[in-house]
Amino acid sequence: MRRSLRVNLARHVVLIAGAAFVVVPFLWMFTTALQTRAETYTNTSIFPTSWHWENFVKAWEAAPFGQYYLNSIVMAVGIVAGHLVLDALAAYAFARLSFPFKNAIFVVLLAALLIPTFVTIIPAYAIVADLGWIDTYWGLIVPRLADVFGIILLRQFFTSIPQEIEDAARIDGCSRIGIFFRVIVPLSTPAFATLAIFSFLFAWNDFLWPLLVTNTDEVRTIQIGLASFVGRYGTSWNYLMAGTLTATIPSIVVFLFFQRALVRGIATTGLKD
Amino acid sequence: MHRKSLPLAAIGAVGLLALAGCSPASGGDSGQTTEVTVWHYWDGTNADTFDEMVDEYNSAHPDVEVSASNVPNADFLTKLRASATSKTLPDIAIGDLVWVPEIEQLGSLVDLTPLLPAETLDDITPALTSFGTIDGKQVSVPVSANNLAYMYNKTLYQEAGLDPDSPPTTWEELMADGKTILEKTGKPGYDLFTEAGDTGEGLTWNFQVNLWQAGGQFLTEDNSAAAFNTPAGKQALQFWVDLIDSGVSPYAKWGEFEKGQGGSAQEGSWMVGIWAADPPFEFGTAKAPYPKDGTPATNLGGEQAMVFGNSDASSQAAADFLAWFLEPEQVTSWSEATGMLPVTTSVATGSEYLDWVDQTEPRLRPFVEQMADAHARPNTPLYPKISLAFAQQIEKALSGDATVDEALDAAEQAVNDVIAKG
Repeated sequence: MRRSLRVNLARHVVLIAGAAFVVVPFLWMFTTALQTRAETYTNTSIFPTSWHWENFVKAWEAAPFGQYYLNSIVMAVGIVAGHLVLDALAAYAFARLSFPFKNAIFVVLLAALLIPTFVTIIPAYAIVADLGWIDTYWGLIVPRLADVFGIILLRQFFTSIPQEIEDAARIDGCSRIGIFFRVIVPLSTPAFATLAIFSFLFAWNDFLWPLLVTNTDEVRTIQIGLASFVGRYGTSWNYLMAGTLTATIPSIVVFLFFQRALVRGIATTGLKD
Repeated sequence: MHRKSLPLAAIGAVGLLALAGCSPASGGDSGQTTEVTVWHYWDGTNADTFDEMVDEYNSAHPDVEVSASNVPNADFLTKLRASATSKTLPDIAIGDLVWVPEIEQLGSLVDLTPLLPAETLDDITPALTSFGTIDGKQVSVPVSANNLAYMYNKTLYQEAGLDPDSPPTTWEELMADGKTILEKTGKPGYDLFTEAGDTGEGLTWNFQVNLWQAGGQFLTEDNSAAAFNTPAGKQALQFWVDLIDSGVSPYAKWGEFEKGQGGSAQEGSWMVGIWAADPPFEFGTAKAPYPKDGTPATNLGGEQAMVFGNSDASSQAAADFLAWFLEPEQVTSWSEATGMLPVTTSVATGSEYLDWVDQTEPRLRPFVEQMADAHARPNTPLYPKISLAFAQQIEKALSGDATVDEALDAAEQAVNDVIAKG
């Protein structure tokens, strides 16, 4: 009894420390977002001491953030949809179909995972520029419609589904496509949820590619808008944090929404980004 | 009487503005709109002011459509390099002056000499035009300028028993005031930028001020070798080491002044603009102190505009826009709105701007006057690498890991190696 209490106490101390470790940066963001510019230089308190809520309005007025927000959502939805559909189709092929050089191609795909994105950025940019897609949603979405990580993640999950289920559907007269949509997809929701979260976070937080392929406010994303608060001559910390807080909300919502599926997905596939 | 004259004066002013806006002959055919895209990294007031001026230019020039776009400064060169691979460069890039030689290497900058009116080029502060002169071509013109001077915390000065209206003018006074502040308040008297960091430039460009003040040079005239390992270089570095050893400028503690926890620092003129609206503490400015036997000097910063040769029509239209931007009226309104320093001599020494400074922002006065003593950093594409190599060696003397002589020898070797490798 005594002993379990002590263990419990120790466990909670560790958990509280861990929680504080995660929460403090957000608290600092919140505190800074409510300060005047002068206070961002001199204030050292981690808790809010002044309440300048107008910073949020000013941050949003500093640039067309409504438009940026919309653009980020369009881009993220496009990329997530692309990943879910295209990655799933490719993953199913690698998991269940037999075709020449299947394993060799899969190894090549795995190898592609090792190539840093920076290496491919300039050639990809040249292609997008040739297609005349600079400063369009096409340029933001199309080059990132499919990714290797998603294919591997889904393939691992698909292979864990017993072949017998598929055979049974086959015997009952279900077509290949029918099996995919009516058997495999419904059984794989945790994996799809995991992929959706990873893809969303990737798309939402991506900075370099959107910066390269967009020039005007009509198609710019929120991360580029936030970067403009980090000026050559000093950072507007209060506006940057106010803007960042509002930009974080979709990520938190998506995470809360998919949280349970995500934990299951990671547990079953053994993969994390 | 007063009531009536005000609207009349306003109408007159608008008319004058419109006339002035039209004065440079824009060569394009009427009927066809020439598009001019501008990339810059300005944010906040600077960006807003620039956008307003672009709008004003567009409404006065129906045959030209200038559009400005902000590119975050940390990734400005990355974006330019990517664009250069696919002919998607803007017509005008406005970037930090030290970037000009690197951007010139992208290969498509236009020589602005034939495109800009001669009187516009002649009016630009000489140290600023010399910077864009590469192989006899004028590949850039300054559009905005700043420099470094002494900024101090008046409240701390008072607490230390010093006169907040008589800041130091020499190194000796700076050292004495710093010691007083340290003794009386326990806070550092003068921040030094002592860490090389990722780029080295924070240390290097602050140090160059003291090097020039002591009579030294950073590189040789043709940028072919290090030139700082001289008695002047030793004097400047010894000054920094003495400041650190005395506790006036603790090593690796840059930023105390900006937090209100330090007596003073060498800061850029832009800080006046950033702080003026809502000062975090009461601050004053003065010309950068120099050694008793030395000469005044400061380091130039700011933005230069470059034109990419996308087409003859767009290059001419871009140059026309820049010519308009460099007219006295625009230079004045830009400088007044942003707190940046004027880039043309006629405005920097003209009574209109100086009266505005004295009435509205007298703390800019030392910076404006210093423009006459300003030096430009070496005009070479290797400069970023040189700056880092220099700072990494000099930091060793500041941290106490090397003597002044050792650090200067090592820095000279490192800089010459960078130049030899090309």
